[in-house]
Amino acid sequence: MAAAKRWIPLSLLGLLLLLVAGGAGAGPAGEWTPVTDDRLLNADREPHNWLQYYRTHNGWSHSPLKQIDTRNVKKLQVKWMMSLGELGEQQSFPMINNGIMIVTAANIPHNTVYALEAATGRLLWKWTRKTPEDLTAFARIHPQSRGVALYENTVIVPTLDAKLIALDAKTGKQVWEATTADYKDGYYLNSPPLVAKGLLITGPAGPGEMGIRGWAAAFEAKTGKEVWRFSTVPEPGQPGGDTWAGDSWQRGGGSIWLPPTYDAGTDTVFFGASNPSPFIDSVRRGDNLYTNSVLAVDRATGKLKWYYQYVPNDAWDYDTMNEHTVLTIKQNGKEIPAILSFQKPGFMYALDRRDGKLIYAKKFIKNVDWAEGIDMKTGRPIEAAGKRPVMGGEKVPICPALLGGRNWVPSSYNPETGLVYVPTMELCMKYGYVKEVKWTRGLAYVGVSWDAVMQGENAGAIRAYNPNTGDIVWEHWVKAPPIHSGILSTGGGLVFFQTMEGQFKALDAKTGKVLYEFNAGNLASTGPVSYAVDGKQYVAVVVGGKTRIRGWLGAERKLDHLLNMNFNGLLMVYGLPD
Amino acid sequence: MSGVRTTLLFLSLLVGLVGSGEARQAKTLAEITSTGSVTACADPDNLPFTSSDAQWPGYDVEVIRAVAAELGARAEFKWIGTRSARAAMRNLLEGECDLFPGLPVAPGFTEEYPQLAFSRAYYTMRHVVVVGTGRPLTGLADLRGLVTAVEALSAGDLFLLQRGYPRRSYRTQEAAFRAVQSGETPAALLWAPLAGWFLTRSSAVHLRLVPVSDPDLAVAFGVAFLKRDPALKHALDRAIERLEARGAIEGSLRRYGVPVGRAGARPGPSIEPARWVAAGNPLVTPVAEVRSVPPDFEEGRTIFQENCAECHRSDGRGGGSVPRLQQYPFGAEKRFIETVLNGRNSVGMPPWGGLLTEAQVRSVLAYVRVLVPTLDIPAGATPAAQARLIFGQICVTCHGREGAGTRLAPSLQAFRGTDEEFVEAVLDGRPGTAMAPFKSLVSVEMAQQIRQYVRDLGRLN
Repeated sequence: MAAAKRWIPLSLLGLLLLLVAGGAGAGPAGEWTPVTDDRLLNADREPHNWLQYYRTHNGWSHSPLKQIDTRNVKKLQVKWMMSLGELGEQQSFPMINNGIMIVTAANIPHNTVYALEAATGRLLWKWTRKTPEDLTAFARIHPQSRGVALYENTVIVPTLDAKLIALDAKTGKQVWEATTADYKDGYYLNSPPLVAKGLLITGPAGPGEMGIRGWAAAFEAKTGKEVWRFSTVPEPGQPGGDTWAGDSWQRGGGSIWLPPTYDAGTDTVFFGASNPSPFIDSVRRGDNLYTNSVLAVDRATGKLKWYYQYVPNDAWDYDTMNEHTVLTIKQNGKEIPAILSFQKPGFMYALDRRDGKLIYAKKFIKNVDWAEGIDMKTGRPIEAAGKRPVMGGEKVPICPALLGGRNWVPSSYNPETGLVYVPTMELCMKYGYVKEVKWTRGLAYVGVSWDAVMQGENAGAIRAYNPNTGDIVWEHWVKAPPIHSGILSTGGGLVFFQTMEGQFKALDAKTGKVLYEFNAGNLASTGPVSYAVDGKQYVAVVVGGKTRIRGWLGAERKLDHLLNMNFNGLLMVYGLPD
Repeated sequence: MSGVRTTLLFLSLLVGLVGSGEARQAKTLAEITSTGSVTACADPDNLPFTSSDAQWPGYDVEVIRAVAAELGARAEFKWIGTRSARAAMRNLLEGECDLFPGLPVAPGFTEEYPQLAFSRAYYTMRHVVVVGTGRPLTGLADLRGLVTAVEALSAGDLFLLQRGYPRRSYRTQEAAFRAVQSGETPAALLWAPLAGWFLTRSSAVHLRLVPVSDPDLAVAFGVAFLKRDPALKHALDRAIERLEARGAIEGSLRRYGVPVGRAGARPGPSIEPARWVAAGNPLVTPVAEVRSVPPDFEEGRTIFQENCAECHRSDGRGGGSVPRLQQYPFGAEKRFIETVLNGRNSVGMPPWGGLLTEAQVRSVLAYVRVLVPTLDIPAGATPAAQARLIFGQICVTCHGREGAGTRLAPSLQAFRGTDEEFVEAVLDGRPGTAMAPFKSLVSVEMAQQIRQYVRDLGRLN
């Protein structure tokens, strides 16, 4: 072990250089370094890495790297690119651990994982797995992968047949595999699990559109063994079981689309449990707990600490999927530990993260007409009349569209500017229910038909909000709704994203002014991440578009220009000239 | 075009276009039973009558299989085109096949073929009026005040002409059906099996069929064969009787949506019974089990709306890389099923095999048939731009992106007809092919623009 000792001063020296340079971080390329619980809990101390989905447990999706800044960003150029080998919407966030990048691709019939040299794109290993041929409907329509989780020497892959598979991070060989649910029921995993203190915490896609019951669960990160499970739709007799008419709970929905955020201080995990199934409210009278709710769950036991339901008896697919950003709200000189979220129905909510008490709720987009506001006493929306369609009836004009005031891609919180950056949408719809709806195992159970309607010439904006007040500080309008334009803010005072038209952009985080623009020529399908290797900062983003775009936006002629774009899965990596 | 050829065949036969040929050796009953095999002539693509499709072989094929089983034999098929009636009949006259199902047992036809014998009729083909469910209509007399869609020069056309009823002629039975489906005309007078078939395949829930009992609009159909073995005639008649007693024939008819009603039924005449000597002792074997289920429109709607509409949209108009499913061509069923089951990865269509059964995909197709055509044309588009959009939204489905043809439809760049013929084909369709009429969607002027657009495409290439 003498040899190992010799290296210690050198690594200290590296750290020292990093501090002095205040720049792009150390990030030696080469050997895999174990991703320990400590490293994940303190991920903010590794500016050069992106070790987990939101980079840090608090859901900030922010990189402190500042080599690329407001002055030099105009020199940004593509450093390397890689074809992901799959067509269609690739939603992966690359993970970076000391110079090694892990990125995924998915489509029918494959889940694929690549390990690459993060500085060059050189392939280290590739793992691919065929999906079963009897995959269910929604996994076929949305066969996505949002990336992997890293734990110790393994890479943990969520699969389209609802498995968690651990790969050896050095070789790509499978270490263990855990079946989280029966995929033939319609469950699948598209998001990586949160890793917190030795547990993988996750939930499935599928329930809200397949008429099955959602759940959240924890598995041992070392073995995949299940530790606890929490149903997002209670049975009769359980708390909340009386919020479902008849046996509608059996088809209740409540997907967990995205990784939860985590507050280590209170050891609490914050899940967004999504819409009830089908989308038709009259089929399942009652509040339909815990759909469209944030669930504050004890990490170790899975015990529900509190919940807050945003949309009782949802009629519009206004589901709660987005991250609940863990931050501190300052109001009247007081500092309140909070979670802040921008929800699909067009309202942003700040909740006290200790008890779920509503701090404030506010419209964060212009076009919201399904509810006049949020009742501060009950926390429930004050619904406008006539916005719930009837089965087989006329379509109802309603704002926002079921794509939401925002969609699944992450917002970003920059602690230096103190602003939250959100890809918001100003899209309305004509929305109706089918005459009748029938559940069949393995097929979708939704029951709606809708046409997108734009309100002006632009269907969205990247907006910066003051989290303490909910006020808009600046906005950058974009023509196509930024459904998949995830946001990255950086220590360099920049906000990066890609438009649905294929423009990769950097905005000034303080003013929203466009500082850099590059035509990547491929529809956005996820958000960027930033990392550094050997002192050099990079911004990586997966693009790849979406066939579904036509189904979603096709009725709106102003968005015709999107329809002829291709959708090849591609990883783009940007950096400054050498 | 399915069914149409049989009607044309039938008409051309009635007006005596078909000559006679010289007989070779068709099998006798004894030869059929001893070899356990009998060959029937049939069109491979003439639903609901005959088809080479294993799952939907057509009711004439189902009947001939059941008849063969009654004779203790297995039915083999010689697949022949029936576009030319003369050529089709030659197969039977020259002994290429032993039996020919689905031929009219009517004097105008039987007298034309003195060398042929006919079984007892197993089905009397009548007419129906296709009309909206909301329209009160009890019989032909109610057509007096309506414009009725008919196939030009069809029995229905002539029937209405003789009575002086207002009518609008279309090139095919299917075009006339579609005219009612789209609301272009309030009613259509069509051959019952075709109307029933179209309705089943389109499952247009807003339409109903009103049976017509007029004997002038009814023809009996049976199996034709060479007059060689009197025992064969007897055995066939007995076989058909047994099948009728078991309801097997009616079952087949129903599977294809053929209206089966007793009202006003005219018993099918059995030709020249006295001349035949009762003989033969056919073995009785069970009818082959029904291997297919009819498409379930409701199931198709549910599957489509829940699983397909996200991309293809709830009205099936698609767009961009997502193909339009409205007016999905008849004759392209196989492609539809293959595409759905296998997916088309290059354009983002997921495979559905392993989840959906072929029967479910057929149900989806049945629903797709009812989707009403729409065009996505922005206001203010120039005529040339409109032609390009129409081409990209409709023509491309069969003729391919560059109009260079696919296995469904010929190259338009290679079109050698006159502009007038092109325009006519666009507006009225081409009978006997999968080319549908589009006059409900495009004007003469627009069809001319499309002609120009296709010509320009050819120049670019």
